Amino acid sequence: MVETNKAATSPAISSDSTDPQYIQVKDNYGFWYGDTKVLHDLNMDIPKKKVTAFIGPSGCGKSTLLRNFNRMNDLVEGTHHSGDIVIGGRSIYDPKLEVISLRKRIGMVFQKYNPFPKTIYENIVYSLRIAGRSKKSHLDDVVERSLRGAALWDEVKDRVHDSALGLSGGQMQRLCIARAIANEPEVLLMDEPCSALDPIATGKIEELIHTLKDEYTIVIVTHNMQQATRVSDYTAFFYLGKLIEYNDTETVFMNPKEEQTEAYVSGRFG
Amino acid sequence: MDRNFHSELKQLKESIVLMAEKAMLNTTRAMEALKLRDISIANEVIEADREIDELELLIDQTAIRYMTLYQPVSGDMRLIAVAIKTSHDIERIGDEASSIAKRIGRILTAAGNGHVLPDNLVVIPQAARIATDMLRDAIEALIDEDVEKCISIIRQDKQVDSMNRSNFQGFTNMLSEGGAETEILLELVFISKSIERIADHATNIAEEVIYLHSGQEVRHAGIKKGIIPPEVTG
Repeated sequence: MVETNKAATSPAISSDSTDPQYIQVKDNYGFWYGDTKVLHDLNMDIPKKKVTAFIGPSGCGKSTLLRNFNRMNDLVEGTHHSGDIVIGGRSIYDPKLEVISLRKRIGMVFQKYNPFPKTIYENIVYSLRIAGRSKKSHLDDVVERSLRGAALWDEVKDRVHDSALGLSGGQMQRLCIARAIANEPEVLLMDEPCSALDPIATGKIEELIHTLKDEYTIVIVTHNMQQATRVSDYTAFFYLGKLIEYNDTETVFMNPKEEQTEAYVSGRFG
Repeated sequence: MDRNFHSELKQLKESIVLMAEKAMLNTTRAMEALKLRDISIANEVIEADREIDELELLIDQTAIRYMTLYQPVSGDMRLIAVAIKTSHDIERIGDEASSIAKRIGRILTAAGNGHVLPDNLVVIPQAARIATDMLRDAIEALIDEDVEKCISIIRQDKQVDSMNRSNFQGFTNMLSEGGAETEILLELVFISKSIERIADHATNIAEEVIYLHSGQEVRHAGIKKGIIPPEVTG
Protein backbone atom coordinates (compact mmCIF):
# COMPACT_ATOMS: atom_id res chain seq x y z
CA MET A 1 0.00 0.00 0.00
CA VAL A 2 1.25 3.41 -0.91
CA GLU A 3 1.61 5.86 1.96
CA THR A 4 -0.68 8.82 2.13
CA ASN A 5 0.73 12.19 1.29
CA LYS A 6 0.76 14.83 3.97
CA ALA A 7 0.99 17.74 1.57
CA ALA A 8 -1.98 16.63 -0.40
CA THR A 9 -4.39 19.45 0.07
CA SER A 10 -2.76 22.19 -1.91
CA PRO A 11 -4.23 21.72 -5.35
CA ALA A 12 -2.16 23.17 -8.11
CA ILE A 13 -5.30 24.37 -9.83
CA SER A 14 -6.05 27.01 -7.22
CA SER A 15 -2.93 28.89 -8.15
CA ASP A 16 -2.33 27.88 -11.78
CA SER A 17 -5.77 27.87 -13.37
CA THR A 18 -7.07 30.96 -15.05
CA ASP A 19 -10.62 29.56 -15.15
CA PRO A 20 -13.05 31.37 -12.88
CA GLN A 21 -13.76 29.36 -9.75
CA TYR A 22 -17.29 28.44 -8.81
CA ILE A 23 -17.19 25.88 -6.02
CA GLN A 24 -14.78 26.49 -3.18
CA VAL A 25 -14.05 23.83 -0.60
CA LYS A 26 -12.21 25.78 2.05
CA ASP A 27 -10.93 26.26 5.58
CA ASN A 28 -9.54 22.72 5.76
CA TYR A 29 -12.96 21.22 5.17
CA GLY A 30 -13.62 18.04 7.15
CA PHE A 31 -16.61 15.74 7.36
CA TRP A 32 -17.65 13.05 9.83
CA TYR A 33 -20.13 10.19 9.86
CA GLY A 34 -20.62 9.99 13.62
CA ASP A 35 -17.13 9.66 15.09
CA THR A 36 -15.57 8.60 11.85
CA LYS A 37 -13.82 11.36 9.96
CA VAL A 38 -14.14 10.62 6.25
CA LEU A 39 -12.90 13.85 4.68
CA HIS A 40 -9.71 15.54 5.86
CA ASP A 41 -8.46 19.10 5.51
CA LEU A 42 -9.78 19.73 2.02
CA ASN A 43 -9.16 22.97 0.16
CA MET A 44 -10.02 23.08 -3.51
CA ASP A 45 -11.51 25.45 -6.06
CA ILE A 46 -13.67 23.99 -8.81
CA PRO A 47 -13.89 26.05 -11.98
CA LYS A 48 -17.06 27.34 -13.57
CA LYS A 49 -18.43 25.71 -16.72
CA LYS A 50 -15.80 23.01 -16.75
CA VAL A 51 -15.97 19.30 -16.06
CA THR A 52 -14.12 18.24 -12.93
CA ALA A 53 -13.72 14.53 -12.26
CA PHE A 54 -13.28 13.00 -8.81
CA ILE A 55 -11.37 9.73 -8.93
CA GLY A 56 -10.03 7.38 -6.30
CA PRO A 57 -10.58 3.92 -4.84
CA SER A 58 -13.79 2.99 -3.06
CA GLY A 59 -14.08 4.67 0.31
CA CYS A 60 -11.78 7.56 -0.61
CA GLY A 61 -14.51 10.12 0.06
CA LYS A 62 -15.14 11.33 -3.48
CA SER A 63 -18.87 10.54 -3.44
CA THR A 64 -19.23 11.92 0.08
CA LEU A 65 -17.78 15.24 -1.00
CA LEU A 66 -19.96 15.30 -4.12
CA ARG A 67 -23.07 14.64 -2.06
CA ASN A 68 -22.13 17.38 0.35
CA PHE A 69 -22.26 19.95 -2.44
CA ASN A 70 -26.05 19.83 -2.36
CA ARG A 71 -26.20 18.66 1.24
CA MET A 72 -27.54 15.23 0.40
CA ASN A 73 -25.65 13.91 3.41
CA ASP A 74 -27.92 15.95 5.67
CA LEU A 75 -30.23 12.96 5.30
CA VAL A 76 -27.69 10.75 7.11
CA GLU A 77 -27.90 10.75 10.91
CA GLY A 78 -24.96 11.97 12.96
CA THR A 79 -23.01 13.79 10.29
CA HIS A 80 -21.13 16.99 10.90
CA HIS A 81 -18.47 19.07 9.22
CA SER A 82 -15.73 21.62 9.76
CA GLY A 83 -14.67 24.33 7.34
CA ASP A 84 -16.92 25.54 4.57
CA ILE A 85 -18.14 24.97 1.03
CA VAL A 86 -19.03 28.06 -1.00
CA ILE A 87 -20.92 27.70 -4.26
CA GLY A 88 -21.54 30.70 -6.47
CA GLY A 89 -20.31 33.01 -3.74
CA ARG A 90 -22.59 31.70 -0.99
CA SER A 91 -21.87 29.18 1.75
CA ILE A 92 -24.01 26.07 1.44
CA TYR A 93 -24.08 26.01 5.25
CA ASP A 94 -25.50 29.53 5.52
CA PRO A 95 -28.26 29.15 8.15
CA LYS A 96 -30.50 31.41 6.08
CA LEU A 97 -30.15 29.16 3.04
CA GLU A 98 -33.02 26.80 2.33
CA VAL A 99 -31.72 23.38 1.36
CA ILE A 100 -34.52 23.02 -1.21
CA SER A 101 -33.35 26.15 -3.03
CA LEU A 102 -29.75 24.89 -2.86
CA ARG A 103 -30.78 21.64 -4.53
CA LYS A 104 -32.56 23.58 -7.26
CA ARG A 105 -29.30 25.31 -8.00
CA ILE A 106 -27.35 22.09 -7.89
CA GLY A 107 -28.80 19.23 -9.90
CA MET A 108 -27.75 15.66 -9.37
CA VAL A 109 -27.64 12.55 -11.53
CA PHE A 110 -27.10 9.21 -9.86
CA GLN A 111 -25.36 5.97 -10.72
CA LYS A 112 -28.58 4.08 -11.34
CA TYR A 113 -31.06 5.95 -13.48
CA ASN A 114 -34.12 6.63 -11.39
CA PRO A 115 -36.99 8.06 -13.43
CA PHE A 116 -40.31 8.41 -11.66
CA PRO A 117 -42.93 5.86 -12.75
CA LYS A 118 -44.62 8.57 -14.80
CA THR A 119 -44.56 9.77 -18.36
CA ILE A 120 -41.43 11.28 -19.88
CA TYR A 121 -43.18 14.65 -19.81
CA GLU A 122 -44.21 14.41 -16.15
CA ASN A 123 -40.73 13.35 -15.10
CA ILE A 124 -39.35 16.60 -16.41
CA VAL A 125 -42.05 18.94 -15.12
CA TYR A 126 -42.45 17.22 -11.75
CA SER A 127 -40.51 19.75 -9.72
CA LEU A 128 -42.10 22.64 -11.61
CA ARG A 129 -45.57 21.38 -10.76
CA ILE A 130 -44.57 21.09 -7.11
CA ALA A 131 -43.39 24.69 -7.31
CA GLY A 132 -46.85 25.64 -8.61
CA ARG A 133 -45.92 26.16 -12.26
CA SER A 134 -48.76 24.73 -14.32
CA LYS A 135 -49.09 26.85 -17.45
CA LYS A 136 -49.03 24.30 -20.25
CA SER A 137 -47.12 26.37 -22.79
CA HIS A 138 -44.38 27.02 -20.22
CA LEU A 139 -44.18 23.36 -19.24
CA ASP A 140 -44.09 22.33 -22.91
CA ASP A 141 -41.19 24.71 -23.47
CA VAL A 142 -39.29 23.35 -20.48
CA VAL A 143 -39.83 19.75 -21.63
CA GLU A 144 -38.54 20.45 -25.12
CA ARG A 145 -35.61 22.57 -23.91
CA SER A 146 -34.60 19.98 -21.31
CA LEU A 147 -34.91 17.02 -23.66
CA ARG A 148 -32.96 18.85 -26.34
CA GLY A 149 -30.34 19.78 -23.74
CA ALA A 150 -30.04 16.13 -22.78
CA ALA A 151 -29.79 15.04 -26.46
CA LEU A 152 -32.97 13.01 -26.10
CA TRP A 153 -35.57 15.13 -27.88
CA ASP A 154 -35.17 13.60 -31.34
CA GLU A 155 -35.56 10.11 -29.93
CA VAL A 156 -38.68 10.71 -27.82
CA LYS A 157 -40.45 13.80 -29.19
CA ASP A 158 -43.31 11.68 -30.52
CA ARG A 159 -43.87 9.83 -27.28
CA VAL A 160 -43.29 12.26 -24.44
CA HIS A 161 -46.58 11.18 -22.91
CA ASP A 162 -45.52 7.52 -22.82
CA SER A 163 -44.15 5.98 -19.65
CA ALA A 164 -40.52 6.81 -18.93
CA LEU A 165 -40.05 3.21 -17.86
CA GLY A 166 -40.30 2.11 -21.51
CA LEU A 167 -37.04 3.86 -22.38
CA SER A 168 -33.70 2.10 -22.69
CA GLY A 169 -31.19 2.44 -19.84
CA GLY A 170 -29.18 5.08 -21.67
CA GLN A 171 -32.33 7.01 -22.52
CA MET A 172 -33.53 6.83 -18.90
CA GLN A 173 -30.22 8.25 -17.73
CA ARG A 174 -30.46 11.08 -20.26
CA LEU A 175 -34.04 11.65 -19.06
CA CYS A 176 -32.66 12.02 -15.54
CA ILE A 177 -30.19 14.58 -16.88
CA ALA A 178 -33.08 16.35 -18.65
CA ARG A 179 -35.00 16.33 -15.36
CA ALA A 180 -31.99 17.80 -13.57
CA ILE A 181 -31.51 20.61 -16.08
CA ALA A 182 -35.25 21.45 -16.17
CA ASN A 183 -34.61 23.57 -13.08
CA GLU A 184 -31.81 25.41 -14.87
CA PRO A 185 -29.26 24.58 -12.18
CA GLU A 186 -25.84 26.20 -11.97
CA VAL A 187 -24.08 22.97 -11.12
CA LEU A 188 -24.62 19.39 -12.25
CA LEU A 189 -23.32 16.66 -9.95
CA MET A 190 -22.93 13.24 -11.49
CA ASP A 191 -22.25 10.20 -9.36
CA GLU A 192 -21.01 7.39 -11.62
CA PRO A 193 -23.58 8.30 -14.27
CA CYS A 194 -22.50 5.65 -16.77
CA SER A 195 -21.65 2.68 -14.61
CA ALA A 196 -24.95 0.93 -15.39
CA LEU A 197 -24.81 1.64 -19.13
CA ASP A 198 -23.41 -0.16 -22.16
CA PRO A 199 -20.52 1.41 -24.13
CA ILE A 200 -22.76 3.06 -26.75
CA ALA A 201 -25.05 4.64 -24.15
CA THR A 202 -21.94 5.62 -22.18
CA GLY A 203 -20.53 7.32 -25.28
CA LYS A 204 -23.74 9.30 -25.71
CA ILE A 205 -23.74 10.44 -22.09
CA GLU A 206 -20.09 11.39 -22.30
CA GLU A 207 -20.70 13.43 -25.44
CA LEU A 208 -23.65 15.03 -23.67
CA ILE A 209 -21.42 15.96 -20.72
CA HIS A 210 -19.01 17.55 -23.19
CA THR A 211 -21.88 19.68 -24.55
CA LEU A 212 -23.42 20.50 -21.17
CA LYS A 213 -20.30 22.15 -19.85
CA ASP A 214 -21.05 25.12 -22.09
CA GLU A 215 -23.93 25.85 -19.70
CA TYR A 216 -23.17 24.15 -16.42
CA THR A 217 -20.39 23.56 -13.95
CA ILE A 218 -20.13 19.78 -13.82
CA VAL A 219 -18.56 17.56 -11.18
CA ILE A 220 -18.47 13.85 -11.95
CA VAL A 221 -17.46 10.97 -9.72
CA THR A 222 -16.18 8.02 -11.68
CA HIS A 223 -14.35 4.76 -11.07
CA ASN A 224 -13.62 4.63 -14.74
CA MET A 225 -10.36 6.46 -15.27
CA GLN A 226 -10.74 6.35 -19.04
CA GLN A 227 -14.02 8.15 -18.59
CA ALA A 228 -12.30 10.82 -16.52
CA THR A 229 -9.73 11.32 -19.30
CA ARG A 230 -12.42 11.48 -21.97
CA VAL A 231 -14.81 13.91 -20.33
CA SER A 232 -13.07 16.04 -17.75
CA ASP A 233 -11.01 19.21 -17.89
CA TYR A 234 -9.73 18.80 -14.34
CA THR A 235 -9.22 15.73 -12.19
CA ALA A 236 -9.00 15.39 -8.44
CA PHE A 237 -7.55 12.19 -6.98
CA PHE A 238 -8.70 11.29 -3.47
CA TYR A 239 -7.34 8.67 -1.15
CA LEU A 240 -8.47 7.91 2.39
CA GLY A 241 -10.49 11.09 2.54
CA LYS A 242 -7.62 13.31 1.46
CA LEU A 243 -7.10 15.21 -1.73
CA ILE A 244 -3.86 13.77 -3.05
CA GLU A 245 -3.60 15.60 -6.35
CA TYR A 246 -5.74 18.05 -8.24
CA ASN A 247 -4.75 19.44 -11.59
CA ASP A 248 -5.79 19.62 -15.21
CA THR A 249 -6.70 16.15 -16.43
CA GLU A 250 -3.85 15.97 -18.91
CA THR A 251 -1.28 16.52 -16.17
CA VAL A 252 -2.90 14.07 -13.76
CA PHE A 253 -2.85 11.28 -16.33
CA MET A 254 0.28 12.11 -18.29
CA ASN A 255 2.62 13.50 -15.72
CA PRO A 256 1.18 13.35 -12.19
CA LYS A 257 3.15 15.09 -9.48
CA GLU A 258 2.43 12.60 -6.71
CA GLU A 259 3.63 9.00 -6.63
CA GLN A 260 0.28 7.83 -5.28
CA THR A 261 -1.53 9.36 -8.24
CA GLU A 262 0.92 7.73 -10.66
CA ALA A 263 0.36 4.38 -8.96
CA TYR A 264 -3.43 4.74 -9.07
CA VAL A 265 -3.82 5.94 -12.65
CA SER A 266 -1.43 3.29 -13.95
CA GLY A 267 -3.25 0.51 -12.08
CA ARG A 268 -0.38 -0.25 -9.68
CA PHE A 269 -2.25 0.73 -6.55
CA GLY A 270 -2.40 -1.44 -3.46
CA MET B 1 -20.68 8.19 -33.85
CA ASP B 2 -17.69 10.51 -33.93
CA ARG B 3 -16.61 11.58 -30.45
CA ASN B 4 -15.48 15.13 -29.72
CA PHE B 5 -11.87 14.03 -29.32
CA HIS B 6 -11.73 12.49 -32.82
CA SER B 7 -11.18 15.99 -34.18
CA GLU B 8 -7.70 15.82 -32.61
CA LEU B 9 -6.79 13.03 -35.06
CA LYS B 10 -7.68 15.36 -37.91
CA GLN B 11 -5.40 18.00 -36.41
CA LEU B 12 -2.65 15.40 -36.15
CA LYS B 13 -2.96 14.67 -39.88
CA GLU B 14 -2.92 18.39 -40.64
CA SER B 15 0.31 18.79 -38.66
CA ILE B 16 1.91 15.98 -40.68
CA VAL B 17 0.86 17.65 -43.95
CA LEU B 18 2.24 20.99 -42.77
CA MET B 19 5.51 19.40 -41.67
CA ALA B 20 5.88 17.58 -45.01
CA GLU B 21 5.17 20.79 -46.93
CA LYS B 22 7.95 22.53 -45.04
CA ALA B 23 10.37 19.65 -45.69
CA MET B 24 9.51 19.68 -49.42
CA LEU B 25 9.92 23.45 -49.56
CA ASN B 26 13.31 23.30 -47.84
CA THR B 27 14.57 20.67 -50.26
CA THR B 28 13.31 22.65 -53.27
CA ARG B 29 14.75 25.89 -51.91
CA ALA B 30 18.15 24.21 -51.38
CA MET B 31 18.11 23.28 -55.07
CA GLU B 32 17.21 26.88 -55.94
CA ALA B 33 20.22 28.05 -53.94
CA LEU B 34 22.42 25.82 -56.09
CA LYS B 35 20.78 26.88 -59.36
CA LEU B 36 20.81 30.62 -58.58
CA ARG B 37 24.17 30.42 -56.80
CA ASP B 38 22.52 32.26 -53.92
CA ILE B 39 24.02 31.47 -50.53
CA SER B 40 21.33 33.47 -48.69
CA ILE B 41 18.68 30.96 -49.81
CA ALA B 42 20.84 28.13 -48.44
CA ASN B 43 21.05 29.93 -45.10
CA GLU B 44 17.27 30.37 -45.02
CA VAL B 45 16.83 26.63 -45.48
CA ILE B 46 19.17 25.90 -42.58
CA GLU B 47 17.26 28.33 -40.38
CA ALA B 48 13.84 26.98 -41.41
CA ASP B 49 14.70 23.46 -40.27
CA ARG B 50 13.85 24.48 -36.72
CA GLU B 51 10.17 24.79 -37.66
CA ILE B 52 10.19 21.17 -38.83
CA ASP B 53 11.82 20.05 -35.57
CA GLU B 54 9.16 21.89 -33.60
CA LEU B 55 6.39 20.20 -35.55
CA GLU B 56 7.93 16.80 -34.84
CA LEU B 57 7.77 17.56 -31.12
CA LEU B 58 4.18 18.79 -31.44
CA ILE B 59 3.11 15.63 -33.28
CA ASP B 60 4.81 13.39 -30.72
CA GLN B 61 3.20 15.26 -27.84
CA THR B 62 -0.22 15.19 -29.48
CA ALA B 63 0.07 11.47 -30.19
CA ILE B 64 1.19 10.59 -26.66
CA ARG B 65 -1.53 12.78 -25.20
CA TYR B 66 -4.16 11.12 -27.38
CA MET B 67 -3.00 7.63 -26.40
CA THR B 68 -3.02 8.53 -22.72
CA LEU B 69 -6.37 10.26 -22.66
CA TYR B 70 -8.44 8.40 -25.22
CA GLN B 71 -7.01 4.87 -25.48
CA PRO B 72 -7.31 4.57 -29.28
CA VAL B 73 -7.73 1.16 -30.91
CA SER B 74 -7.77 -0.22 -34.45
CA GLY B 75 -7.41 2.40 -37.22
CA ASP B 76 -7.11 5.26 -34.72
CA MET B 77 -4.19 3.50 -32.99
CA ARG B 78 -2.53 2.76 -36.34
CA LEU B 79 -2.83 6.44 -37.27
CA ILE B 80 -1.15 7.45 -34.00
CA ALA B 81 1.70 4.97 -34.51
CA VAL B 82 2.12 6.06 -38.13
CA ALA B 83 2.01 9.75 -37.17
CA ILE B 84 4.93 9.28 -34.76
CA LYS B 85 6.98 7.32 -37.30
CA THR B 86 6.10 9.55 -40.24
CA SER B 87 6.96 12.71 -38.36
CA HIS B 88 10.35 11.19 -37.55
CA ASP B 89 10.93 10.42 -41.25
CA ILE B 90 9.93 13.95 -42.22
CA GLU B 91 12.20 15.39 -39.54
CA ARG B 92 15.07 13.38 -41.05
CA ILE B 93 14.14 14.73 -44.50
CA GLY B 94 14.34 18.23 -43.02
CA ASP B 95 17.80 17.41 -41.64
CA GLU B 96 18.93 16.13 -45.04
CA ALA B 97 17.64 19.34 -46.69
CA SER B 98 19.52 21.35 -44.09
CA SER B 99 22.66 19.30 -44.67
CA ILE B 100 22.32 19.80 -48.44
CA ALA B 101 21.97 23.56 -47.88
CA LYS B 102 25.12 23.65 -45.75
CA ARG B 103 27.06 21.77 -48.41
CA ILE B 104 25.72 24.08 -51.13
CA GLY B 105 26.83 27.01 -49.02
CA ARG B 106 30.35 25.58 -48.92
CA ILE B 107 30.28 24.87 -52.68
CA LEU B 108 29.14 28.42 -53.46
CA THR B 109 31.80 29.85 -51.17
CA ALA B 110 34.41 27.78 -52.99
CA ALA B 111 33.01 28.94 -56.35
CA GLY B 112 33.14 32.53 -55.12
CA ASN B 113 36.82 32.01 -54.44
CA GLY B 114 37.39 31.16 -58.08
CA HIS B 115 37.10 27.37 -57.91
CA VAL B 116 35.52 25.67 -60.90
CA LEU B 117 32.07 24.08 -60.58
CA PRO B 118 31.27 21.00 -62.65
CA ASP B 119 28.96 21.63 -65.63
CA ASN B 120 26.59 18.66 -65.11
CA LEU B 121 25.07 19.92 -61.86
CA VAL B 122 21.59 19.45 -63.30
CA VAL B 123 21.57 15.78 -62.23
CA ILE B 124 21.27 16.89 -58.59
CA PRO B 125 18.01 18.91 -58.91
CA GLN B 126 16.56 16.17 -61.13
CA ALA B 127 17.02 13.58 -58.39
CA ALA B 128 15.79 16.03 -55.76
CA ARG B 129 12.60 16.68 -57.71
CA ILE B 130 11.81 12.97 -57.87
CA ALA B 131 12.50 12.60 -54.13
CA THR B 132 10.26 15.53 -53.17
CA ASP B 133 7.55 14.26 -55.53
CA MET B 134 7.73 10.93 -53.71
CA LEU B 135 7.26 12.69 -50.38
CA ARG B 136 4.32 14.71 -51.74
CA ASP B 137 2.72 11.53 -53.12
CA ALA B 138 3.24 9.70 -49.81
CA ILE B 139 1.47 12.47 -47.89
CA GLU B 140 -1.34 12.57 -50.46
CA ALA B 141 -1.67 8.79 -50.08
CA LEU B 142 -1.93 9.28 -46.32
CA ILE B 143 -4.80 11.72 -46.75
CA ASP B 144 -6.51 9.94 -49.67
CA GLU B 145 -6.00 6.45 -48.19
CA ASP B 146 -4.38 5.45 -51.48
CA VAL B 147 -2.41 2.21 -51.12
CA GLU B 148 -1.81 1.93 -54.90
CA LYS B 149 0.00 5.25 -54.89
CA CYS B 150 2.23 3.97 -52.09
CA ILE B 151 3.31 0.99 -54.19
CA SER B 152 4.22 3.37 -56.99
CA ILE B 153 6.34 5.42 -54.55
CA ILE B 154 8.22 2.33 -53.42
CA ARG B 155 8.89 1.59 -57.10
CA GLN B 156 10.31 5.10 -57.66
CA ASP B 157 12.85 4.68 -54.88
CA LYS B 158 14.86 2.40 -57.14
CA GLN B 159 15.12 5.18 -59.69
CA VAL B 160 16.61 7.58 -57.12
CA ASP B 161 18.98 4.87 -55.90
CA SER B 162 20.14 4.40 -59.45
CA MET B 163 20.60 8.14 -60.01
CA ASN B 164 22.68 8.34 -56.85
CA ARG B 165 24.93 5.52 -58.03
CA SER B 166 25.29 7.22 -61.39
CA ASN B 167 26.08 10.57 -59.73
CA PHE B 168 28.66 8.91 -57.53
CA GLN B 169 30.28 7.38 -60.56
CA GLY B 170 30.18 10.65 -62.48
CA PHE B 171 31.66 12.74 -59.68
CA THR B 172 34.39 10.24 -58.83
CA ASN B 173 35.32 10.06 -62.52
CA MET B 174 35.64 13.85 -62.52
CA LEU B 175 37.77 13.58 -59.40
CA SER B 176 40.24 11.32 -61.17
CA GLU B 177 40.13 13.54 -64.27
CA GLY B 178 40.67 16.70 -62.26
CA GLY B 179 37.53 18.31 -63.76
CA ALA B 180 36.74 20.30 -60.62
CA GLU B 181 37.97 20.93 -57.11
CA THR B 182 38.07 17.83 -54.88
CA GLU B 183 36.20 19.56 -52.06
CA ILE B 184 33.35 20.57 -54.36
CA LEU B 185 33.05 17.11 -55.88
CA LEU B 186 32.97 15.46 -52.46
CA GLU B 187 30.23 17.83 -51.32
CA LEU B 188 28.25 16.88 -54.43
CA VAL B 189 28.66 13.17 -53.69
CA PHE B 190 27.23 13.75 -50.21
CA ILE B 191 24.41 15.92 -51.55
CA SER B 192 23.46 13.15 -53.96
CA LYS B 193 23.48 10.70 -51.05
CA SER B 194 21.27 13.04 -49.00
CA ILE B 195 18.73 13.15 -51.84
CA GLU B 196 18.80 9.36 -51.99
CA ARG B 197 18.09 9.32 -48.24
CA ILE B 198 15.16 11.71 -48.70
CA ALA B 199 13.69 9.22 -51.17
CA ASP B 200 14.29 6.42 -48.65
CA HIS B 201 12.35 8.33 -45.99
CA ALA B 202 9.53 9.01 -48.47
CA THR B 203 9.49 5.28 -49.16
CA ASN B 204 9.31 4.56 -45.42
CA ILE B 205 6.30 6.88 -45.20
CA ALA B 206 4.64 5.09 -48.12
CA GLU B 207 5.14 1.77 -46.33
CA GLU B 208 3.72 3.23 -43.13
CA VAL B 209 0.69 4.52 -45.05
CA ILE B 210 0.08 1.03 -46.46
CA TYR B 211 0.08 -0.24 -42.87
CA LEU B 212 -2.25 2.55 -41.82
CA HIS B 213 -4.85 1.87 -44.46
CA SER B 214 -4.59 -1.89 -44.87
CA GLY B 215 -3.24 -3.01 -41.49
CA GLN B 216 -0.60 -4.96 -43.45
CA GLU B 217 3.10 -4.69 -42.68
CA VAL B 218 5.19 -4.38 -45.85
CA ARG B 219 8.44 -3.01 -44.51
CA HIS B 220 10.52 -6.15 -44.58
CA ALA B 221 8.37 -9.01 -45.79
CA GLY B 222 5.79 -7.34 -48.00
CA ILE B 223 6.85 -9.22 -51.07
CA LYS B 224 6.48 -12.60 -49.37
CA LYS B 225 2.94 -11.78 -48.36
CA GLY B 226 2.16 -10.76 -51.92
CA ILE B 227 1.23 -7.20 -50.93
CA ILE B 228 3.93 -5.62 -53.06
CA PRO B 229 4.63 -6.92 -56.58
CA PRO B 230 8.01 -8.72 -56.73
CA GLU B 231 9.45 -6.29 -59.29
CA VAL B 232 9.10 -3.46 -56.77
CA THR B 233 11.16 -4.96 -54.00
CA GLY B 234 13.23 -7.40 -56.08
